[in-house]
Amino acid sequence: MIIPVPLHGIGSRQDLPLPFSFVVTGAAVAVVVSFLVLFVAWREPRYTHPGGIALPRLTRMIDHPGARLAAQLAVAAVYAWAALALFAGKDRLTNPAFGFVYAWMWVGLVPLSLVLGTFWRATNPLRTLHRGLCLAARTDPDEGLLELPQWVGIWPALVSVFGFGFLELVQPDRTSLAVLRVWALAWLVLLILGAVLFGRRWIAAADPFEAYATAVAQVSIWRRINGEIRLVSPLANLHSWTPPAGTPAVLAVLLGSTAFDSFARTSWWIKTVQASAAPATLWATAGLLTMTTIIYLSFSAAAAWMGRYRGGDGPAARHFPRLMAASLVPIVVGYAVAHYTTLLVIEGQRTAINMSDPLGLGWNVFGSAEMGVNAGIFNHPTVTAVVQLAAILLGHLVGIVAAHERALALVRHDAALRAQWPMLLAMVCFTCAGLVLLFSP
Amino acid sequence: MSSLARFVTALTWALASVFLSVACTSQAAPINATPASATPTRVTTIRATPTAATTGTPSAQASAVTINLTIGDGEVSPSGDRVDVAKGQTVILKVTSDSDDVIHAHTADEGIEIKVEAGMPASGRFVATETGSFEVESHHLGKIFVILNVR
Repeated sequence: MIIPVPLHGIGSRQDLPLPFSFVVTGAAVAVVVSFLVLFVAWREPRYTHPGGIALPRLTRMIDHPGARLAAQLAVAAVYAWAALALFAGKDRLTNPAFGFVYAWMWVGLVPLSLVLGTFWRATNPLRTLHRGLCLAARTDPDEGLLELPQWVGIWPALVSVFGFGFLELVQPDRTSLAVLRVWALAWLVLLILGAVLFGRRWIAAADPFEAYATAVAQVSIWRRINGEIRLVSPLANLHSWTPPAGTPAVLAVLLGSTAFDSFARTSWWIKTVQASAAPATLWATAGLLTMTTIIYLSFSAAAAWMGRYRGGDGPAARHFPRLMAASLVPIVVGYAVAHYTTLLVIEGQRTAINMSDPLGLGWNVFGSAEMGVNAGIFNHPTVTAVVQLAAILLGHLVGIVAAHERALALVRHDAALRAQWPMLLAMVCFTCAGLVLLFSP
Repeated sequence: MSSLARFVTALTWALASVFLSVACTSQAAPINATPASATPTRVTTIRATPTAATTGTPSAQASAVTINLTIGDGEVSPSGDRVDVAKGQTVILKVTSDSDDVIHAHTADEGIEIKVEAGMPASGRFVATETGSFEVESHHLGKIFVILNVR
């Protein structure tokens, strides 16, 4: 018997695979451009000073305490509404909490940070909540019981970003309320508790969303220099960022989870996992770990190679992976745009529609409950394919130019070429892998 | 290396890469929308067969794609194969199973369900009206039979 029914899960409708000719053309372009940059690009660092245009009026507007508070409260209200749906709503597909977490938060933070810079950090509801608690307790939000040492960097975020990757890709029943509630509660408790223990800096160190958003914000056109907001070029912005400790590992997980998401849709993977006696959860965890480790090791090895040619008075070789990590950010962004734009457009709309009725009681608070999702994006597969290709190639181009610029600042002048080629090779491999995964054999 | 030598080296490598990629592209079969009368080609062990007489006119309504699904011993067959379907084409799913199960065919916002009982073959059909990539899976086993690429 056939019954037309709304089925489980979100994102059940996917983009068509990239045409093979796109994959080959894209790979060729990536290789060509990489060689050109290596051989022909500038030999002296160009972005020693970020430059840009100073924006004192904008700085005053944004730093106005009233404006900041209003933005923080508005964002906190949105989260509170989603929390209402999560903790008091019904366990149905129409509950907006799922789309809120997997589409609005995780995918949405990329365009938000690209366009608005460090907006996420400024309006993180965890910070708002923590500040409220400290206000009530008459304590200083920056201070906790213990001091978080500098070397901690964002290493705690490695655990939480991997945790989200696990939730997103491995966790069975991840679109059921019971599971999502536990994870959301864990996130809330661990981060607020940590903030009480270590001060507000814990949130920057451990919140997966803030770590991701802050990294993406480094490719935006906004940078704060000496407290003043300036309009800068993304390349200059990236170059003036000193990544905190643990950045290469966090970026490797971000890239690895996107890559594994695609890899898990290939026929080979599905066939192998389904025929195996081992549980699918084990396979998926192993896959996620493997992808992440491959990316981390290849990137670190390339950076270590560069370390052999370090300039005499520069940073020690062991800092090279962290200093070069900035050039991975554009590739992470390119991957995210290519793989998740459709999801954001479709599930993002669906979430906006369902937000009018968070408890599943038939409300229509924002007037969107009766609207339908405009799935027109699926009617233009060629446009989608071109956008995906462009996103990956643009991410690659910005990444290798950023890597080139950073390498010039770090290695000896006469060894500029020899030092860079493994890093270039690693990035070309990441890009080609991204293209092949979009082709999803 | 002088600036000119560097440029020439770069250009040589670049052109070599381009020629190589063009050579590869010309040998690979481009993935076109499957004409209604052709069997999907880029798939491994698919059993999709056109059932209606084909006259050569690429009318998507003229023929259908039949896919035979089997469940046995907790295994599904086919397992993870890709099937190319033309937009507007009818898809017929024929299921045989040794245990009670429900087949979900995601087609668009909604999907269709086919209930199958142990030992009693069932079938269902739908028209692929939406483009995109859709899964057909066994709900109880949580395993994917095929992924329909509708163009």
